[in-house]
This record gives sequence, structure tokens and C-alpha cells, in this order.
Amino acid sequence: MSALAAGDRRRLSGPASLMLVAPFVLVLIAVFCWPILQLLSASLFDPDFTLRHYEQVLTSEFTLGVFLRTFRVSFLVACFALVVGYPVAALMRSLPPMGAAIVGACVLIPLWTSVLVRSFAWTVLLQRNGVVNEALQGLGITSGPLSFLYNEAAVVIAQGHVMLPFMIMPIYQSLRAIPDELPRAALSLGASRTAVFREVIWPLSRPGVVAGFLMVFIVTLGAFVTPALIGGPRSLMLATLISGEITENLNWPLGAALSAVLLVMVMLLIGLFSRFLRFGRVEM
Amino acid sequence: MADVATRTIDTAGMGADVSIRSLVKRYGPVTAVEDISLAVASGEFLSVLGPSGSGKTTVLMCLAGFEIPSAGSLHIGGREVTALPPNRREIGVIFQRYALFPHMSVRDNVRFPLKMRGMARRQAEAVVEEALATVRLSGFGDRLPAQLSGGQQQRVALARAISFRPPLLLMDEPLSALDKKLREEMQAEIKDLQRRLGLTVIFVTHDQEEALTMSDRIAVMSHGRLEQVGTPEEIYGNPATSFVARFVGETNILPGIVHRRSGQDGTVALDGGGEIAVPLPAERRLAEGSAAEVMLRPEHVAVMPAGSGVNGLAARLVGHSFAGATVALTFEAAGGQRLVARRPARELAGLAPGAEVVLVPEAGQARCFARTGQGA
Amino acid sequence: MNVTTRLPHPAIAAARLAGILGVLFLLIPTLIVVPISVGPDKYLHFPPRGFSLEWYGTLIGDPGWMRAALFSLQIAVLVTLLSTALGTAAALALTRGRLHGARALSVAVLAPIVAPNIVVAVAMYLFFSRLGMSGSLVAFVLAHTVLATPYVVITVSAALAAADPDLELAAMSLGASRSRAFVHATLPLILPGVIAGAVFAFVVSFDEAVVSFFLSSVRDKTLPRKIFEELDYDVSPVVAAVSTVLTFLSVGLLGLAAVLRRRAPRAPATKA
Ligand SMILES: Nc1ncnc2c1ncn2[C@@H]1O[C@H](COP(=O)(O)OP(=O)(O)OP(=O)(O)O)[C@@H](O)[C@H]1O
Ligand SMILES: [Mg+2]
Repeated sequence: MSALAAGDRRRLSGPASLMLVAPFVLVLIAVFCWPILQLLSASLFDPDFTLRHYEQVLTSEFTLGVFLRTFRVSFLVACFALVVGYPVAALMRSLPPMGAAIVGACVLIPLWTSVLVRSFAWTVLLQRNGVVNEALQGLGITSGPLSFLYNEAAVVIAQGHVMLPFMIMPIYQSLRAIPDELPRAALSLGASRTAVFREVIWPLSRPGVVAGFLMVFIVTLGAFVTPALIGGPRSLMLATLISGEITENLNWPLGAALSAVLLVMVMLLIGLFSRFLRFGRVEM
Repeated sequence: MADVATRTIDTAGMGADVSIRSLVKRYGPVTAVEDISLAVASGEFLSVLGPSGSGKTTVLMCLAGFEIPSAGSLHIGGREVTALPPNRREIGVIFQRYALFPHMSVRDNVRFPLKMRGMARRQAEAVVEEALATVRLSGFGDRLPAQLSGGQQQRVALARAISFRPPLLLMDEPLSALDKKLREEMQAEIKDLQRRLGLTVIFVTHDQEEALTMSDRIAVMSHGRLEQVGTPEEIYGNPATSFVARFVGETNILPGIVHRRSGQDGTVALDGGGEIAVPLPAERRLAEGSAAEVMLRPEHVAVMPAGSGVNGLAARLVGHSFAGATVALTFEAAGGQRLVARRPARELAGLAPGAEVVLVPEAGQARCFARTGQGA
Repeated sequence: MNVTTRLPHPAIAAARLAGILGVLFLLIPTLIVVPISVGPDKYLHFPPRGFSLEWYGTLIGDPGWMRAALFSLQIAVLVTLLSTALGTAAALALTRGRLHGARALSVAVLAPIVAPNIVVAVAMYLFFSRLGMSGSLVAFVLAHTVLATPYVVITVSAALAAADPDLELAAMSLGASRSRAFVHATLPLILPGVIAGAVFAFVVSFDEAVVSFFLSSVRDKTLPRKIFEELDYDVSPVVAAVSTVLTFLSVGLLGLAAVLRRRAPRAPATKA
């Protein structure tokens, strides 16, 4: 038997393959693609074809402000996650297997914890009679409670926390791919510790940094739970705006148009950067 | 470091002497290196030879500064470097898997140490070109390491390690990833470069042939200890321990008992029957009656027809394998003892399997060691 | 003899410290929520001034919480069954089948986890509302199945990629039929991956907050939606108790999946 024939035998037949994927594909079409098309049409027909709602999205100072804030917050969240996450990934890389596994578990436990639970924890920490305020007053640093919640900074910290594993894992993977000899070689050639990082480690871990940064940025653009619970009315983000239009103002067409713009933005970003992204590959 | 560039690569005699004093390195409960002392002269090519896990790499990593000794001290060029960080030791290190920076071109790799020393770009370019020419890679400067063959990559690593003119080059099995022919070419090139630059080289290998052909001296290691340090001739011809005798070159091992000892000579009664005369230098504390092992290189075994009247071990030919100029003959002596003799191929004429012969050790070539019980 | 020790370079020490602080930051929520849930105070207090399981008692005694928990459980179990079946079948076809555009399809299958949650949620809300099904069990199960199945596909595909297809050929050469060969040669190898995928599906559904936020009705709401309302309204230690239960459930289950996946290398644990 030729190798080719053997290769063929290993594969399922065409009809059998089709029958196996069909159920999920049908569910996807019916409960994912179709609803999204419906949403798009809701943004375009009111009841006749109109671009009015898109015009409103793209011209209203208010919605544009929300877009701007969403981009800014997403960017800040990605920066925050990078600054906090890179040293964690580096720590993991520098530890022996057992230590790396323990730090890895610490990274994944939050990933496995409900976003709601985490928002709850931040509320407890940051609210007026929360842990941080009590500590500050207890230490005599402040005299009365301060408001840490319901502002952009709180959203950046809380959402940054939610997204950290998405930053740490790809960076860790690219750090792990750097053999020990490379930093050693650099040292032996006269590079200082900082030069080793600047010239060797950082450039070689950049693919992980780029992947992590983009994933965090893109996911945060559409984040809902944390901004809804931690952010206030003055730090409205796109997802919370969409939710408000639909559940409070019952303005479906506008909510749909906002959703469409968000979806297109995210798809464009993913399309542009697909080479760098590793969705579905954050390892345990 | 402007003077780096003004020196030319052909300056000889720039090697540094190295002194390793009572070096110990432990990893938790594992003692990787146990009390090693070794002096390497300026411009010397020293190989560190030993089986896997014997601590060769550990010694090198301590010298390079990547590992901190548990005890002992290291001196390079008269300067104590034991606690000096690796980037301030001025040592060229060549790694087994090249360790080229994959994101930099060949030129940038070679320029890296110059850049780290703050050399001006223009000046550095000239040094880089010269270093690349030295390893016959001019014109490859713009390539990425991934676009080179293994041998070329190792030459780039070499160029990079010498471009900043270190007085000492450490190499950890630099050729083990190359095929035999390329390896021999590179051996010659490294040797040539070392001579021209007058570099001190410490070269780790577990290939004894490589060590024997390249080195001024060889340090044989086993279980974290030095077994012997000597010229290739000494190591091969006069092994200090039975480990060295077994590890370097082929050898026949004949267990026996020291039968008679007088001055520097003696005889050993072999367990399988027969007697062999051996030199017994005073430092071998082998009293009469103690268990011993006689080591005999195959090329020191002469083959005589049975009944020719000479004194030797009666044996029977059981097999032979042809290796071009020589042939290895396998014999079985009394008591089932196997012996190999390596003779010029023409001597095989007339010997067929089953032939009865007498094996005669060449005078003064057998070596006798105390039996350690570590098996053959 | 000269014993030397070298202190870590200051830059390295600083980087290490930053890493350790980062790990602590990651653990903050878990370290806060669990102690609060076992504190006796009516108002959230950290560190707790005593130990009490009062809030767990309140939780179990509250029909509102129990209804939500049971509803979530019901949904999650159905989603687990459905998406494990759909996902395993799809993974088989995508890795072992002959399909035109298999590569494009494997990307398309990931769309539900890549598309912004909020858009998916709003679209499904509109879709099920028009069908008059919003808040129904069927709507939740279908919606969560769409979101959970990609994880099963990824996990099982990884397990399949690691299992040698020649084993099945070998089984067939020994006289087994195609399906028997699969059951005896391949299934045992990918089973850990399938179970891990099922666990992911369960957790994705049980913890899902965004779609649930929109689909829930006043009467039928999932546990995450209930927590959402409580958080918006008043933060009480009962929420800490729920959160603790939820955390231990998720971490326990996914830890189990991680152990299982040791045998089915390379698969994901993404969750936004
Ligand atoms: N980082 C480490 N941690 C623990 N043990 C180590 C470490 N590095 C080396 N060892 C141990 O020290 C001993 C010597 O190792 P070393 O790498 O020096 O041997 P080697 O002679 O270079 O061997 P090889 O020929 O295989 O490269 C071995 O037993 C090894 O297991
Ligand atoms: Mg080694």
C-alpha cells in the first residue's frame, strides 16, 4: 500500500466529515450568525432603510466621546496589563519547574474566577468604607473616606486584572522559547544585565508582548461587566452605552448601530493583526 | 576601548593564563565539581575530556561566571575573577548550539560585543569585517543566523567571540552538532585560529579523538574530579588511573593478582592463567598479592604462531574486523578472557578463525592498576 | 579556600520584586472575598472580626439565590452535554476529515469567543425576544452552547492532534471496522481532552454573565445575573459567600481539567 493511500485512509470520508460538523455549524448559523444579521438590519431599517442611526453614532459628540474613552481605557488597560504582567511572566520563566507551576496557577486562578466575583472584590476594596479607605485612614494618611470607585482609574485596574492572564501567557510562552544560552552569550560578550534585556530578551519576547497587548486591547473594547459595575456614569464605555440604549432607553436601532460599529472595529483589528494574535491558545 | 580596534587580529601571544584553585560546585545535594585545581598557561590549548555528567560544563560555566563556585577561587590573567560578573570577565564563550542572536544579522551579532564596549560604529564595521574574514565568512554579513548552515553558524559564533579580542576562549562541545567531515575541518580552523591569535583555549569535549588531536594538554574528568592532566601522549601512553586508560583509546583489561614485585618492575598472574610483566612505578601502591588489572592497548599485542617458543598467552582467533590499514583481531585466551590485537592488515594472511596463537605484550607497554571493582 | 556569594543584580532583584507584587495583585480578589464570606459582620469588613458561616446559611435559606443557582446548574448541565457532543464531532471532522475550506471553518468556529461579548449578547437578546423566548431555558441553553462549544473544539482538536492516527489504521489492519477502530484506538486517547472540554463548557456556561444579563427575566435569572443585581443594589456578605462557592467550583473543576489535559497537550483556557 502506498503512503498516499495510507494517508487517505486516515481521513474520514467527505460526507462523514460533513455530517459531523453540520450540527454545530447549523447551531452557529441559527443562534450566532442569524441574530447578528438581525441586529445589523435593526440598525439599518427603522422601519425603512436609513443610515440615520449611524449618522448619530458618528456625529454625536456624546457617542464619539464614549468611543474615544473606550479606546483610551482599552489602551490604558493594555499598558497596565503589560507593566504588571511582564515581570510576572519573567518571574515564571526564571523559576525552576515547580515554582513556575505555582506562579502559573496563581495566574490562572483569576482566569478561572468569574468576572463578577472579581468585580465584587474590587468593589469591596475600593468603595468608600472599603479596605483601601480603612487602611489609609487607619494609617492616618487620609482623614475621611475617598471615592476610588466609579472612575476610569478603577476600571483600568479592575479590567487590567481581568485581562492579565491574556498578557502573561503569550509573554511567558515567548520568554520560554529563548534558550538560556542567549542571555549567557550576551553577558559573556560584555553586555550588562540591562543591555541583555534591552538587546536580547525584549526583542525576542516582543511577539508575545504584541499578541498580549492586542488581545487585551481588542477584548477590552467590548468589555461589559467590569465597566458596568466598577465604572460610573462619567466613565461610560461602549458596551455599557450599548446596554443602556437597549435596556433603559429601549432605543434598539441606536444600540444596534453602536454594536455594528464595535463589531466592525474588532473584526478589522483582528483581520489586520491576525498574524500576531493567539486567541484560543492561552495555555493552562 | 579604542585600542581594541587598533590591534590587528594577527597579534600573537595575547592569551591569558588561567588558574583554578580548589574549585567546588554543588547543586543542592549534587556535587558537580569536587575540589579541582588546574593551571592553564598563556596560549595553551587545554581540552577537558570526560563522560557525560562528569562536570565539564560546570567548570566552564564557573570560569565564564554563569555559575558561582561553592568554594575555591578562579584567576584569569593574574586577576581574581571568582566573584566578577560574567560581562566583566572579558572571556569569549562558544556554546554547543552556537547561541547566535536570531533577531540580529550576522554582522550585528559580531558587532554586538563591540557595541557593548561603546565602540564607534564606523570603527566597529572594520573590526567586524576583519573577524568575518578570519572565519572565511566575508559577504555573509547581511544574513540572519537561520539562513546559515550549522558549520557557518559556529564560525559566526567564533567570529563574534574573538572580535573583542578576549585573551581566553571557552568552548563547550562546540563541534558536537556537526557531522564528522565538517567537524574535522572546524577542528583545524579552530586550532589554526588559536595559534595565530595566541589565545588560551579551554575546550570541553567528550570526544577523545578530538581532544587527542587538538590539545596541548588534556584534563580528564570523572565524577566531578580530575583524573589526570597531561599531554595527549602522556594521557594515551601513560594513563594515571584505570579510568583514564579505559576512557581514552581502546584497551584490553586483564584481571589478575600481583605476583612478584621488584623495584620498578613486577609480574601479574592473570586470573585466566598466564603471567604478564608490567612496570610498577613506586607511586602505584600495589603490594604482592593485591588484586590488579592489567591494561594493554590492542596495538601493543603481537601475534605469534602457536609453538613458536616465545613466552606469552595462548589464545585462539575468534573474529576479525577490517579497518583499512589495520585489522582488529579478537582472541579468546584461557579462561574465556577476550583480547583484541590491532595489527597491520597484511599480518592477517594465513590466520583463520580458530587458529591457535601466542599473544605477546610489547615490552614495557602494559599498565597495571589496582582493581577497583568498578567493572569493565 | 574562598567561598563567594554574589547578590542578585539590583535590576534583577527589582524585576523579581515586581513579579511577586504582580502575583499578589492577581490573587487580591480571591484573598479578599473568601475571608469576608466567613466574617460575622453585617457590613463588609476586612480583615474579618471573627469566624462565622452565617452568610452561607443565609444563602442556602434564600429561595431567590437557590432558584438562580438551580437554574444556572440546569442550564450548565444541558450545555455541557450539548456542546461536548457538537464540539467533539466538529473537532473530529476538522482534524481528521476531508472538508473543503476546513481551515477557514476552524477559524469561523472560534468566532463566538472572539466576537465582542456585548454584541453577541445584544444580538441574541433581540433574536430570542422576537421569538418570545427570552428568559426561557431553551434560549439560555442555545446561547451558552454557542459560546461554550468553541472551547470543546479547541480542546478535543488538540487531543486529536496528539493522538497518532496510525493507531486507528493499525486497529483496522487487525480487522476492526472504522467505528470500532475509533472507539478502541482513538477514543481512549482523546477522552481526557473530551472531559476537559466538557468541564470548560460547564464553567463557561455557569459563569457566563453578559448574555445572561440580557436574557434573564425577573422570574428566571441565572446566578451571575443575580450577583450582578445584588452588586448594583447593595453589596452584602452573602455575595461574598456566593462568590467563594463559585470560585472554588470553577477553580476546582478547571484544576481537574488541567490535570486531565496533561495527557492531551496544548489546548486553551481562554475566557474573557
Ligand atoms: N543547574 C543544575 N542543577 C542541578 N544539577 C546540575 C545542574 N547543572 C549540572 N548539574 C549536575 O552536575 C553534574 C555535572 O554536570 P555537567 O553539565 O557539568 O556535566 P558535563 O560533563 O558537562 O556533561 P555532558 O557531557 O553531558 O555535557 C551532573 O550530574 C548534572 O546533573
Ligand atoms: Mg556539558
